[in-house]
Amino acid sequence: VKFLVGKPGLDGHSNGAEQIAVRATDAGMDVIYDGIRLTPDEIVARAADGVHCVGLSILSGSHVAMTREVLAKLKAAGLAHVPVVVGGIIPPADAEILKAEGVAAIYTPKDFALNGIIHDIAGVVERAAG
Amino acid sequence: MNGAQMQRDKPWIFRTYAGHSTAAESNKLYRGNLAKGQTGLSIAFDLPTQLGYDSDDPMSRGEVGKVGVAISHLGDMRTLLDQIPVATMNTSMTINATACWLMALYVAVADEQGAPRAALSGTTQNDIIKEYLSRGSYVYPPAASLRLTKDLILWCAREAPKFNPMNVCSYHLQEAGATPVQELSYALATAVAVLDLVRASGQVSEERFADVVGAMSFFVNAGMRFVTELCKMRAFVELWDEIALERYGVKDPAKRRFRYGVQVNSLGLTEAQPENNAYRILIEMLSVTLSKRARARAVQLPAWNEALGLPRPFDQQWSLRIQQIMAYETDLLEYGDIFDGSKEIEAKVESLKALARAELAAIDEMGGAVQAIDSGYLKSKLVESNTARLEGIERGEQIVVGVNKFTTAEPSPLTAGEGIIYVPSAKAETDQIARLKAWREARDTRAVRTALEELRAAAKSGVNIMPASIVAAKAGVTTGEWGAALRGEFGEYRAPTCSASLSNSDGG
Repeated sequence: VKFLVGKPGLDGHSNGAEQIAVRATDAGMDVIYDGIRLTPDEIVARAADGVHCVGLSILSGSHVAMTREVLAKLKAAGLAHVPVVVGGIIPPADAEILKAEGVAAIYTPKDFALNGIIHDIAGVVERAAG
Repeated sequence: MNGAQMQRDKPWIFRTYAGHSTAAESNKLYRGNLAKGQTGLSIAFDLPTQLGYDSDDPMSRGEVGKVGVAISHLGDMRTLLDQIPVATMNTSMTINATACWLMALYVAVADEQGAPRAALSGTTQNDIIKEYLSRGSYVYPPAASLRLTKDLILWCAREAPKFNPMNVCSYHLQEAGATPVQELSYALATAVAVLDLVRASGQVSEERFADVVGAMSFFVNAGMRFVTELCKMRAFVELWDEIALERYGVKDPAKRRFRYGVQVNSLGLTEAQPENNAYRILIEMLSVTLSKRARARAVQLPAWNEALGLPRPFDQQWSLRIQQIMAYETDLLEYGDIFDGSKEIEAKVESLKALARAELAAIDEMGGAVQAIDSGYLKSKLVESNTARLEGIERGEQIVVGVNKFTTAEPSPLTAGEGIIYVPSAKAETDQIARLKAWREARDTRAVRTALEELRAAAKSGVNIMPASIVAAKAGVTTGEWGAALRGEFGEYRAPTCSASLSNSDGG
């Protein structure tokens, strides 16, 4: 499984993205993580590289705007089939908005079990493939 | 004994890290907080401001006014500080890559208010080293960034000696997973790297250098293991005294004092049963207030609902009250140091110091903090510690009440219903951009052009960037223009991706 961990926007708090990258790698995924402050265009260009899932980590409160842009650009690039999951400080109301727009799963601080998250992402990939 | 007659120590400064949306909204918030008994300001800037972009820059889309207030020019700073007397206020600004610029705007407003520069007190965070390590808000390459750090330190030493130009941060290291020993050693190594650089510049005399050491301040973190944290603070005090004396020959003990502000740990605050966070915040505060010998100069507390979203004014008030109750209702400030002579505390402090000294020596061996970042050593150590911490929680070895133990709970009335977090106005970004456009149209474009030329010349020649920045602030230059002028001279830094140090993966 090829998993892209992306940090769009200007926020530099990368601890969460790094821990997910470490654990996904340990679980045998092929992880791509290019560091902080990527533009949605850069993330989509990376996703075109045959990834099975895009994970976005956003902690600045700009998760709705950022995720919308990535989803729209994935679609425009013919990558609408690649599932997108999002992690961050995401209030429940925003989580509903994001799910309605096509985000496959949302992870917040209460999902402290990283192995659980990785397992869940594997499920997301499976369902998208099936 | 009559408490009223007793000699009480002055309480530390009470702050709340705050700021969002626009300057006018944040000013209202600050004045409200001050009216409730807050005694200092702690300004949170939005990410575009922290990174030197204007609010209408394509890079700023969606980020304007989100994690702090948007400050694009002198007019915004004026509005932010409206009716707040800069001469007597103690202001902490969480600003790093663009610290010189925000300080220039602050000084410009102080000049307008007629506040003498020598009266200015507060801090600019100005610790770029930890940005490369944990917080990620760097712009320029390390050498250029450190030169800006040095310029602000030297300018303050000359013009605003009461202002602390740098707040060396161990705070963000703990948030990134650092152990107490790592916090001690990495923060002290950062302070040493910057002071060595200032000394090597030859721009400050031996005698004045002691003042530069004395103006260094620190910004630390305090977590739930509060006895260890209390010992960590005592170790910081003793190690800093040692370094100031032995490495820098500072004779005056007052100038060797470890002066620090603190924001207690947010990493340990939980989204599950968030009401419990109120207790966690209080317990964390004990470690930085109980020891008289290692007491914080300024404390800011997070809010109980931070893991849910942005706190409301009520939530910030609840945290401020914790500090006021501790300082004014208890007898804490009537005593000397209540741990002096405790064998248990002393042994722990000594052990932390010994381990930190060994780690400091190892970093020195590598060539100092900057080299230890370049080589990826510090970053990989932090990621390792954070992985171990998270694994401990997952396996249930580290108990987190409400998260991995005691998870059965009554429904909380505190989190029921709508409006339990603050939702900033969606209009903030468009309002901010409209004001910025009007500002650009109203200013004297010739004065702006000249100021930017001088700024670029200063960046290139290596003279102190502050005078040209203050002139630029007064001429109406914007945050994005200042940022771009320096990007033009210094270039922009792209951190190496840490995938390699994260794992054995060849992906990325």
